[in-house]
Amino acid sequence: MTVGVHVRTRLGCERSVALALGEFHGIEPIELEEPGTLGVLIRDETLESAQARLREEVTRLENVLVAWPIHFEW
Amino acid sequence: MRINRRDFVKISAATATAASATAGTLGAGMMARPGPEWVKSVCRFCGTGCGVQLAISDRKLVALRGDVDHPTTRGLVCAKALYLPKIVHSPTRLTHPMIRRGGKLERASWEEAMSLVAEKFADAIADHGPDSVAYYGSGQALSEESYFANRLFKGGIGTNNVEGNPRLCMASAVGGYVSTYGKDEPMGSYDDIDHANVFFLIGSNAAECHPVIFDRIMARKQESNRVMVICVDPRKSPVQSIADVYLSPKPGYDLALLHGMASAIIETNRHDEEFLAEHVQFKKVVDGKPVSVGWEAYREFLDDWTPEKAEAVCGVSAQGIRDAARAFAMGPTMSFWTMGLNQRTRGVWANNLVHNLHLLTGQIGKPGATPFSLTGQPNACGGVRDTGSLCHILPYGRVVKNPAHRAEMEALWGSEEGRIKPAPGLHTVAMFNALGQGDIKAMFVLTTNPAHSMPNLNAHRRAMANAPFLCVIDAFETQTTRLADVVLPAAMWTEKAGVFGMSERRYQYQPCVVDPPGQARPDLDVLIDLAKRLEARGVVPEGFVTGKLEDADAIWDEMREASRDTAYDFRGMTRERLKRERGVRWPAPTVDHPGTARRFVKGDDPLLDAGPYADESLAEGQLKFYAASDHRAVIWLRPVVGPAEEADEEYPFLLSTGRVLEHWHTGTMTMAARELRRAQPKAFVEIHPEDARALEVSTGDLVHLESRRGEASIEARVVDMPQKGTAFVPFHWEHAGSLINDVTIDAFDAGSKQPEFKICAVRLSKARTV
Repeated sequence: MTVGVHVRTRLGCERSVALALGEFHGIEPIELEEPGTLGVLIRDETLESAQARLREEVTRLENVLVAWPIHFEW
Repeated sequence: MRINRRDFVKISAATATAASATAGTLGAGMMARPGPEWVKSVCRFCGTGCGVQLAISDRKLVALRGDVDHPTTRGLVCAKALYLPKIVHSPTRLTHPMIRRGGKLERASWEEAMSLVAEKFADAIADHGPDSVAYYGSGQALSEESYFANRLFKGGIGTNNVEGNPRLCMASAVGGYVSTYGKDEPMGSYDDIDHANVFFLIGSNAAECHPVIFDRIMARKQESNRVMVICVDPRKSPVQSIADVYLSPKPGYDLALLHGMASAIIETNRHDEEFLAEHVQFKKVVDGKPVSVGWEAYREFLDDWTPEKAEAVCGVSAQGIRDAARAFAMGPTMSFWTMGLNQRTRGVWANNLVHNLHLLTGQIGKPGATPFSLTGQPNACGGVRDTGSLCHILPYGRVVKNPAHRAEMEALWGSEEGRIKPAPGLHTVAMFNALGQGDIKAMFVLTTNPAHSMPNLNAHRRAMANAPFLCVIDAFETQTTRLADVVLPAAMWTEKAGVFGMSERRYQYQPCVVDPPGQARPDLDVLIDLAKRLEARGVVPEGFVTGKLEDADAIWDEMREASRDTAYDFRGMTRERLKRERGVRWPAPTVDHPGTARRFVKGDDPLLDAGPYADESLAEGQLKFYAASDHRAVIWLRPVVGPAEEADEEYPFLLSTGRVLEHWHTGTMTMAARELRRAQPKAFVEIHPEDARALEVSTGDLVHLESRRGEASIEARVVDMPQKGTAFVPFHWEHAGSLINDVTIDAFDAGSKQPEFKICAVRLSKARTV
């Protein structure tokens, strides 16, 4: 299961957030053109576990303002 | 390499498809089939109206993604939308009609169920008159469904007992718009977010309740250091985390704060004299009637509401009031509000006072400058407010008290003269009171769950339980279906086609792409079926529906015609056009009109170019409040009056209710998705740390809440979010003891009739450790 997530970071913190996210297994950050944003792919066994990782790992990271799922396959 | 959001969505979709193709049974199944078909649709939760794309395979939803081509939501959706496919395909859906026999709901055929419903309604009308029956609908229903039900009850049966759950959420916003500008609905649009420099969020937890709009606000704030966010809310919701100015008024006394801001604006000459002279009138209520007064009277009135005097009443520092006033006047300023202002006994007044600030400063009708009420339900605007599906109104700005308006609708509907009653029907609280008193003999509840969502629930649930006849149509079992005499299984989102109308006046088409489960049917089919049966029984005129309005397309065409020469004119929104485009904002009187971003502004609003509101004397960009009396919006001199119930020795805390990101209203749908259910599994009560210490309560303890009306026992969360002396409980859960509406009050605003969910007095005590 993969969930596509749109992440809004503090301006100028995109790189540091991307690096921190890259440390998590199964989480792939993708740089986006819009300043203060990142794309993130979360791969996990189930939608629920991917959602939990979004909540527990992505949104709690320093300089992440908010993270929205924008795609999922069921 | 950097990519744009559109490409990211594509990568995300492609990666997910690849992943599912290599693992698990779903993937194996998909490998054997051609790729899914993607179709555009619209989310069916809050009033934002997020554009979504749905992947369909074998008449099943297999994927959902934000629609990057959607003009307002631009590819974003929230967690609730993400789980919609699971909710639609939930095994807990209702799949067959049921009739209560011997106290138990038993499976029945559609013919048995509909015969019984028609018989009970026809008998009640014949024996007790048309006002012995009632319809209680929903901002969840499609526009065609609400319009048809309204037409059937008001123009066919001849009762104005037509209500719906928007009475519980948006009625005060309607009252505010109508009393200030002459007509309902915002004049601005989401486009204004990209131009605003100041966001004034009052009584809105947009971060959780309208998260995609909140993201757009954050994006705007990131663009420029000049962009400011002012947050006014007694509770520190997540909105407060991005606020430059945070004001926490005493619950129920933000009216003083808003007057204080107006006073500070005038004190520093930040008001717009030219705008006031050209576009504004001043009124106050004397002996129950509105009376015109002048600018000087308003200034004198505000002498009683200097920031210092306001501070004494609302508890916000005079300096904080002045800071907010200075920023507001600087602009361009966009205000957002929702239940925090609306669910109040002074809800209309609170709405008026926000409009006052925009009118006082001229922060209106310009890019980025507009008051904007965020709607709670997906189709409260287009479905209920615009179609006139409340007890006092008729479609597209008409009111039942106006003989000309009644005559127009009788002519369009083919009702005989006088069929529409001249007096408003029963508003929601009165309707359920009448049900309890036995005055309502038969009630039809559609796509809503009043046995969970009504305030002072014990009384109203008792009324539903003892009702002579209650028919409920829903997609899931609810507190209300459990009390019904007949339960009908409803098709839901994506299983039926129709139109949703979102907060910014955008009407969007939702296609039917999957089959409903079992015997579930679209609400509209059921309403048409009922109408025909009532025709056959002689309580609705023959031919009122039969041969005339047999499907949603025909109904939509009649709705467009009903909007002719009104301030809503959307005759240009043909069905075919809505299927192609990602919604259109009314007014849009012709098929080639692109829709209106800004009402009342020459050059934007086509109604200033042609039709009854046209004014050739205006130059491009000039504003005219054409729906208001004398074409002037009203600054109201409203007194400051507190809530219906204050804290006292017996009930020393004030309770407020609200929502969380993961759940929608009574949880009927979101609790059907295991992930959402487990993300927020049970009710909680937020308590301030100082209060928790005094009560000897810790997070996780069970807390007993008791009001003059009822009680609940809910797990504590000790957090620095509610003010000291207040408590906050989201209202989504229905576990034993968790129904917080057993505790809330059904006192309502005298104008809007909207109940005061946001404030009531309670006492708290530690129950036991969970």
